[in-house]
Amino acid sequence: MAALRHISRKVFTTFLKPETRPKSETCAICIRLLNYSSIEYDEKHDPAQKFFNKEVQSLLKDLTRVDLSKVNRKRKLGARRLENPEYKFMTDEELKQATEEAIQKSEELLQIPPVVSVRKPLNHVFARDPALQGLEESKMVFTDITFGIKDAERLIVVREIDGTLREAEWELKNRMNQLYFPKKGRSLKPPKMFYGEYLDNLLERKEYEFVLDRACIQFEPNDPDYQRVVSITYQHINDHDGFDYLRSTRHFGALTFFLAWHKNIDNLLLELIETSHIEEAIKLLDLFSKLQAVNYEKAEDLDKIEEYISKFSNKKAALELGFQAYKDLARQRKELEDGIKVAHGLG
Amino acid sequence: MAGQILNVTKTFQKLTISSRCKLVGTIINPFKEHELQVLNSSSTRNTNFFNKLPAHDLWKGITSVSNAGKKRGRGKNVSKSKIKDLNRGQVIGLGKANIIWPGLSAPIIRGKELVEQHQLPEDPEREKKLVQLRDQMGIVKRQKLSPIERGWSGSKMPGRSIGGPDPIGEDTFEGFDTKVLELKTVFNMKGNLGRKRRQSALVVTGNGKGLAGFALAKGNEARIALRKAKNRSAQKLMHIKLFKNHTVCHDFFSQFGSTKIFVSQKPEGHGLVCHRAIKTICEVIGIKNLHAKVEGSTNVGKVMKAFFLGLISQKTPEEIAEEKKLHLVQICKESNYFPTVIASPTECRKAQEIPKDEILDFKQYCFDGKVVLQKKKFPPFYTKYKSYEIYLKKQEKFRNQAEVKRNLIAEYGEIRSFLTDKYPECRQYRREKKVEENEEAEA
Amino acid sequence: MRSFSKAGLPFPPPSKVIRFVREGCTNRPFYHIVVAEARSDQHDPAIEQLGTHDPIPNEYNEKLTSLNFERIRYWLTQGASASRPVQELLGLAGFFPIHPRSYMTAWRNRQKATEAAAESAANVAKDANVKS
Repeated sequence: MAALRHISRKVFTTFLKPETRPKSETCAICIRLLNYSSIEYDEKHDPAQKFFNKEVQSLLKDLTRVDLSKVNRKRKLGARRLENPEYKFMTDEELKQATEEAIQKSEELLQIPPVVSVRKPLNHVFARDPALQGLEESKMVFTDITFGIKDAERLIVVREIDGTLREAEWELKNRMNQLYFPKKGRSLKPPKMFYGEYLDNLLERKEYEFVLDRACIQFEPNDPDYQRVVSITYQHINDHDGFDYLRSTRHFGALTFFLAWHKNIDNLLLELIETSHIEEAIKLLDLFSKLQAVNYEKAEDLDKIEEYISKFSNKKAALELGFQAYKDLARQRKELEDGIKVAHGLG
Repeated sequence: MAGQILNVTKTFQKLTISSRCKLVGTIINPFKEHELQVLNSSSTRNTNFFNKLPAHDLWKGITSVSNAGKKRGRGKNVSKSKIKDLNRGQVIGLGKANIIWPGLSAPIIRGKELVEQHQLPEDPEREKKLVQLRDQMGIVKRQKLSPIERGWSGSKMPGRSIGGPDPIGEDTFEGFDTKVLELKTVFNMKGNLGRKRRQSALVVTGNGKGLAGFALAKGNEARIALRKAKNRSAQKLMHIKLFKNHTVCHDFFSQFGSTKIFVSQKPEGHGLVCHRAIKTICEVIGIKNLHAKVEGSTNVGKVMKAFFLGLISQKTPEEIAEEKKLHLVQICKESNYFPTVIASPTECRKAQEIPKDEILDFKQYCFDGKVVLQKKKFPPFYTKYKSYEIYLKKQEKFRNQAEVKRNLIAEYGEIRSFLTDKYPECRQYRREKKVEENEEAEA
Repeated sequence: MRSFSKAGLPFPPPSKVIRFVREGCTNRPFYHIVVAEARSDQHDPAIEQLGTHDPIPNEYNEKLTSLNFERIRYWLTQGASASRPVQELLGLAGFFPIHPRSYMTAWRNRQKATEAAAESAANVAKDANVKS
């Protein structure tokens, strides 16, 4: 099995050339990093509608493969020392109830960060008054701090040096919101870890969850910077087979959505087949069909996979090898089970 | 010529072999006597107190005190360590006069030349060296221990590790370590000897995995007492239950005599916060996180016994769950208050089966229905002073300084403002390194 | 409750004003925009804070102002007046019409700038003549 895996990987890498990777034409910022380019969800095809679809959400959640002990593992919360644990005596019913409540709570930790298209630049001008030229040597920024307004709806205007009164651009808006209404964990300037060699280093160390968590805190989901960091991280995970790092976290759904949206699920599918998670593989194909609006002719589960490999896959050889190996393994297992049954005199 | 030299060397060899003292006497004394006789006509004494008696007798005269004197308390400050060997560092043939004696302090033939006896200028260093050597004699320097080897205090034994117990036949104590808790001098009255002095050692030995034992032993010397105690403690090993191999199973209280100990379980990374004797015992047992408060007597032996009693009477989570017939569930903040089942009974009771007056609070259960008195912590006395208020006001402007500095260094690599480009003179003053100055001076 | 003078006539209600309060420290001004009673001292406790104004430009050459427009609107309906600097600021924010003084200051600044430019040009010409 291991040898087979190795061969399939080899075949795979030969296919892994930069030109086969999806490219976005409407890419606003293209910072080259580890040969990855930023892939944003552009405005032409809004992913939000499909992402917030209930069926898609449930598919994404199923693919996350939640392990409660991993979701609720001990985390360092910034305190110097861990707190004393509390012990309780519980009856069966109490334990069941407490577990159910805890599972509901951990749903919050597993909420998938929203996938939306990149925001449009703001350039609304309220007034032009050239007679104010010379009044100030710097821009004047006015922020409305009226109680109870959402950050996104807050009115922030700029009086330019030439007297123009216009709406503030996104970058300034975020800065003002963070200045007057700070959010915990977010810094006024994006930290260096999202740029250049620092991001490079983090990805090489496979600190995917850290990068994605921090990006969720720092940026809004429609921020081009957010989509750049996230897409680069997803591509790195996809190429380095780091899916296990994100399983049981809130980011796995977003990763799967990203891959399916950009028709790049082959690596994930291969990983699922190799680890014999065939149900998940089929769910992944369902997701693919939903997002790409394609229908499979055959309804049988295994046939679906075969159809996908022959029709849509970019890496046919590797997938076919892997699938064949899975089928052999399944057949052997079935034979063994039958043998045991016969031995027990049941068959 | 060659024959002459051979003769001379032969005679010298004979002289040196027969007796060195004689040689010195035969050569020096005739000269001296002649000179003295020439200078002074009066008679001189060449024997005195100092060259009549051997050195050890002379030293004895100084350092010893008569039995009667001792009883009166004399000679307390003189000891045998003050005796100095004045011959040390002295070599025959090399002396104050710095004369070269061929065949004694120098070879007879050097190269192709015959070495002649002659005097060199005096060496002032030689005398100094001798004095220094004599000064150092009798002063024994204490060996310095590395911080890891050190015990509780300086180079004293308590707290120090003395290695594992000795093997018995083929049975070896692998992974065991012994630490000294107490080493003291004890006295006993004997009928014929009077006060008899012995050393008493209390040690604890363990393998760091929950197996430990302690013993007390006496001996005439510290070394013997320690060895005895170490080997005896290995014969009295106890199994101690650990929770996840890092802490005690639950909080508990234990008492021995008037020593009371309140022990509480702590999460990983907390460390050992307790009396030093308890800390040493924990290190030997393999407990890494714990908090203990000792009340009453802090006598080491009693603290140790109380702690061991408490440890032995611990119940494992499984035992607790079985006794209560309820699930034991751990809830902690760091894991999002997720209920983790630590132990489950074979058969769980139902809510109706639990009597109303049963203790269900885990902490209360651990302390056997008692509640630990938590004393209220009062604010320090100075917080009431006006000066403290002024101090706080003055300090207020520095409240974010450290964070701002850190952020600036992270961003720019130095402490600067965005106006530094405009006003480069407004920079934090840094004293230049001295090394650079030296280099400039050299250049 | 209404208060009365010795003559039995009611006092006019104290007039409110929206104005700056200088906070910050030496060489580093920072203003709070507050509504206060007109004749009270600057640093007396104000009725309500309505915003802040930082007159020193930041790293990006921006002067930052925050204004609680809802409360400003409320106090204006209650008959509060605004001090001139506040009026100018609200004018620049587009809340009030632009204060005439802003135009005047701008015009004067432009005048000064043109004069300074002319002077420096003349100096340059002079220097050039001397050199030649």
